[in-house]
Amino acid sequence: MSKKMIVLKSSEGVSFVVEEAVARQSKIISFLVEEFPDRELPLTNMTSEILRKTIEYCKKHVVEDDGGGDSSSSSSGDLKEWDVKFVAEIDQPRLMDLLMAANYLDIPSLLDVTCQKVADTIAACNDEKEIRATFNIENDFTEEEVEAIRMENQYPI
Amino acid sequence: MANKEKLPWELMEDILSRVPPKPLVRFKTVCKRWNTLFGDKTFINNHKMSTFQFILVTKSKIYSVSLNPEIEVIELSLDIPGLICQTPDDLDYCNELLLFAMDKGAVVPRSGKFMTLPQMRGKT
Repeated sequence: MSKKMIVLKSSEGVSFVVEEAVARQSKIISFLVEEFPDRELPLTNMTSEILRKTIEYCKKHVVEDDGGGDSSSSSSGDLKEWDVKFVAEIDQPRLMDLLMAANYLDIPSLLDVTCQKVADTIAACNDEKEIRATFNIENDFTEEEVEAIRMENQYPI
Repeated sequence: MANKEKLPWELMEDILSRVPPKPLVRFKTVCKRWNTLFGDKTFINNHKMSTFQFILVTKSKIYSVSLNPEIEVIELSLDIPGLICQTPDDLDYCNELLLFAMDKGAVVPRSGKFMTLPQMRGKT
C-alpha cells in the first residue's frame, strides 16, 4: 500500500512533501487534510527552516501502525533522549519560533519539549536583566518598586 | 515565524509553571506581570514542580510537612535534649532542602531523612 502524501508550503513558498501520517501529528493539519483533501496546505507564518525542523520532529515521532515488519519506531526512552538532543541543538530565537509553530499547528508533544527547554533556559538565567534581554521583556518597575519586592523576599519560600 | 512576535501570555504561563520555585522567586522583578503571576493562587497550584515544605511544632513534637501535591507528614525524632518549648527559627530553603536552626543544632529534612547538624554556636 503506497503511503498518502501531502504538500505543506512554507512562507517562502517552498513545498515540502510529507507522509500524511507524519503531518497528522499536527491536529490542525489533521483537520485541514480532512476538510481539503488533495490540496497543498500553505503555512504562511512558518519559515522553511522552522517547517523543516517541525517535520523532522514529526517524522521521528510518527507511530508506525501499518505493521510493515520491523517497526522503526523507537522506544520511549530513546525518543526522550532524541527530543532532548533535538531541542539542545537549536538556538534560542529558533527555539521560540519552533515553540510558536508547535502551538500554531497544535502538536502537543513538540509544544511540551520546547516549553520545557525554555523553562530550563529561564532557570539557568543569572538575573532578571538576562531574562528581559532573552525574551524581549520591558522593565516596567521603578527602582523603588524593585527594592520593595526584594525586601519582601528576604526569606524565600 | 517572525522572531519579534510576542509569545502568547498563556504559553509564557505554561513555561513559567515549569521553572523551579527558587529561580522564580528571584525573577519576580523581571516585570509587573511576572510578579503578579507568581503571587497568583491558581498559578501556584498549577505549578508543575510545586513542593511546599514547612515545619510544624507542637508542645512535644516537631513535624515536617510537605505538599507535593500529596500531603506528607513526617515526625522528626530528634535526639536533642531540651527540645520542648524550643521554636525553630531561621527557616530557609536551599537546594531543595528545608533548613531550620534551633539553639541546639539544625535539622535538614531531605526526602524523609533528617540529619542533625553539628551543634551551632552563637545562636540564642
